Amino acid sequence: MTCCTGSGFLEIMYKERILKLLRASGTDYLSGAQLASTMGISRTMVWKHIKALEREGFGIEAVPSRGYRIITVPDLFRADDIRRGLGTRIFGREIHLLPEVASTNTLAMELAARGAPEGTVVLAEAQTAGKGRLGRKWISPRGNIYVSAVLRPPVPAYKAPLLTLMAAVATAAAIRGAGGAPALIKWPNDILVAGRKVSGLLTEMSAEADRIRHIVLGIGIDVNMDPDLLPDEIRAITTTLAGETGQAIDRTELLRQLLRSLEHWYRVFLDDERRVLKEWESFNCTLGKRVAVSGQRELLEGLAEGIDREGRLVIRLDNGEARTVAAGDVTILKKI
Amino acid sequence: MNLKELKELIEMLKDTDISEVEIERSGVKVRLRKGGDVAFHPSMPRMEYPPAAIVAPAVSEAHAPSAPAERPSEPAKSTQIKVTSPIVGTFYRSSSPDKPSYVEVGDTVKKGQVLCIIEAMKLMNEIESESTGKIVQILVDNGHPVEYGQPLFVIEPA
Repeated sequence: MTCCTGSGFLEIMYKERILKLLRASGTDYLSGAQLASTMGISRTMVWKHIKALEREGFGIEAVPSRGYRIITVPDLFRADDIRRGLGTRIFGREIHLLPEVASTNTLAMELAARGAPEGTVVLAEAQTAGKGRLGRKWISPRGNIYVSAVLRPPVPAYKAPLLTLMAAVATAAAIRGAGGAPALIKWPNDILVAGRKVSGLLTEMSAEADRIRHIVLGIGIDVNMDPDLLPDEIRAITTTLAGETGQAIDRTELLRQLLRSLEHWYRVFLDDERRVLKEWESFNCTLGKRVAVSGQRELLEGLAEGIDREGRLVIRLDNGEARTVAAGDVTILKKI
Repeated sequence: MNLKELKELIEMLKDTDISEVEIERSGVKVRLRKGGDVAFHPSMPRMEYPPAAIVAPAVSEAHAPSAPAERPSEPAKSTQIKVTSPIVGTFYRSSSPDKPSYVEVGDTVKKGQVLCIIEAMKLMNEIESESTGKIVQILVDNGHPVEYGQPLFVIEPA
């Protein structure tokens, strides 16, 4: 979500109270004036909170002179439903489910620092400060999946970046399994459907010297949200699973698949990371294409030739020189 | 060597992998070290241009070549700690391009304080200081690639 950083606890409290009052009145209308006087806030503030609820997926009918009522409620996660038939031993061992959080990654990092076990999962219906790379925002309205998982892999820190490729493989496999959308991976770990981004991963690590203390895998998947909630420039390059498959996706089932898939590929990674790289290659839509990589000191353009054993992208520049990049934004260029 | 030439030299150095260069011309010796400070050889005559033109805050101090901190070209003392990169990746001095750097040369840092981020494939690794002390040198430029085990910072423990 884009709004109100620093709005804090009070705002959320008012919003949740309005939700409660509207729910209590059922199919009857509640006027803005009634809400305002019950709450002790202005009608403008009531309107602002109604708008915020709409952004979270509530369908609210507003009729002049009568007031507001809820028509549709967003489908919400329930921890019991998620656990039912999950069958994992690591991922989802502990599930922290929140209606809204600043960032699932930040909370998971905090929980991990306080000793949360491997496989602890933080799941939120919405994020108010969802994170992307380098301070970028991950716009996070309701209707999607925002999940972060704590890992404590018994491998040296230098191998940790491979876990991001592992998570990409697991996510692509889960999307294919649950919704049938033909998900592909753009280096290093964006998930695309029909050339548009449907999922992004952000991993954070705390390490001392060569030893990993903990890692948090953050995965955002755009599932059922209304794409109109996104700014135009983002909407143009992204899509949702519902949009691609033409039907609403069962988020709980997709999440279960994701946790199972992560568990499977995490075990594969610990056993033989080369198998992860191989699977990544089979899902990738970057290699063999002409790409531009920005975010480094210079803009690199050339043929995406392969990935090395550490998962870094090898680009063959037009002058024949091979360059290896560990980070950057990759754009797949159209064939000339 | 004039100011313009020195500026050009600094610019050139920025775009290369060379971390240190020493040039001697008409009795003036200049040593440039990337990511850290600009050092004047103490025995050489002082150069006649404003020190502010050169970049590092240490330059103005270099006119009084007696204090040890002003001679970064000396071998690091055994008490100094080098913070190295645990992974191959890209070095960032701040959490996002529009945020200030986590630390600057001369800053005092506490144990556990974040010094920088190394990114590899969207894995963000916040590198923390292993000890309380003063940042003596920053050895890598923002946005540059780093290798496994490459020194990033020199810290003088308090």
